Amino acid sequence: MILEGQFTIPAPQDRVWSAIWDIPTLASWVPGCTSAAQVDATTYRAHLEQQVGFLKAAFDLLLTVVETQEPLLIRLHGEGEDRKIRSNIQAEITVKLEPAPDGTLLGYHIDVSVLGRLGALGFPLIQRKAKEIEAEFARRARAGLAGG
Amino acid sequence: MRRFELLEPESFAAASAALLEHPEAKAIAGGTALLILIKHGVYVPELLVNLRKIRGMADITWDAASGLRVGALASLNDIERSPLVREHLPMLAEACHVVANIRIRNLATIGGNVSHGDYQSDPPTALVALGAVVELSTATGTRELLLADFLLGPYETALEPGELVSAVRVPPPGAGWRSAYLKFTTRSSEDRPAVGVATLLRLDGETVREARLVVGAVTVTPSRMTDVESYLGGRSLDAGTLAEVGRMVSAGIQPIDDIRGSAAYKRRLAGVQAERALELCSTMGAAR
Repeated sequence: MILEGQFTIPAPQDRVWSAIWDIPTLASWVPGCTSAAQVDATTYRAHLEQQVGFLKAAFDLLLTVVETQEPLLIRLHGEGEDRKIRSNIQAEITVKLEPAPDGTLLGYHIDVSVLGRLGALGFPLIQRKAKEIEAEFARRARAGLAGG
Repeated sequence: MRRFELLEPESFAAASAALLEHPEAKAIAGGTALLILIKHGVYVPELLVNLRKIRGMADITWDAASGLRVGALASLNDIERSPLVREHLPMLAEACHVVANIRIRNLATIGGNVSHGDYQSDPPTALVALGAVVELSTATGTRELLLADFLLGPYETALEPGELVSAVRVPPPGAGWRSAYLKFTTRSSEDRPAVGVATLLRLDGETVREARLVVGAVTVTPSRMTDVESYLGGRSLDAGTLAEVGRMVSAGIQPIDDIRGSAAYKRRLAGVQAERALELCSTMGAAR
């Protein structure tokens, strides 16, 4: 499943870049992300909880920075597991920043696979949930950096 | 399978109280939908509240003024075979009849069907087209909600903590309405619908006076096609009108990709099935 899009954040590019590397800030933009921490120079851990109706999933994610071009681009590889429902998630994430007349244009391309039981049964639901997360992430990022 | 607690209350009040006391609890009646999720390991229950021991919640009654009332624990087979449903709301009987197979229909309840909030189901599409209302009850009171407003998304409904669907009501359709429900499956005949179309028509000779058209199983909740309904008013259902309806439905719907078909396929299929359902309704749909 490919998720891609772009939105403008009303803040200069260097400020957006800094916010992305401030892990608590970034985590606060992702709905359902209840904790996030740096493991080493290129590795981060995060816990992501999501719910569709009464169905719940909680993934422990390991995110690895694959490429960085300050202040333009980050590429990440992420993977995680929900042991309770025996499902896995894998994602290749690319985030690009470029100056825009009213701030910074943030473009993203996420190739995400959900494997295991959840993936077998719930693809349309995952897709819908991903769209919700996407919209909420953009809203929070804009709100978080507004006035910058 | 992991172990879980099972409560088997014998009264509605006790069931509601148990659900209110345990927010993680889930009600189960026929279990035909929930058990699949449990067996697949996608849903891991902690506490299930079995409703099967509650008496007096499976009655099907008809009143000329208020219409049909189906107790939440009535099975889909009860509804399909009910003389009252067949006489007054044949489309609902048909939409229940095409669900899965007789073993499933014997167990699955109408309350469970609507509470589960699964978009890939037949009865909700017909019920939304018929303007059905759900009775939502707790130990202390009952409120009513249009089914169209009760269904919020995949596995999401407007049920509040401690609430259960106690009945589904369908207002009397009024004189002169014809109806039809048309299901299309892409795997086996017993499969869930890839597309389901429910339509009601009030005809004056060849001319449509009023129409209702609901497309189900392609979007997260049944989609009422109000623009098509307006378009049909005053027209005859000739080939040109039907083709335009097909085009409007395909253009107006945003289907979900799933194992029963891609979004593009379902978009086309929804249009074709809408045409077929209208044709069926005008020629075969029982006039009431």
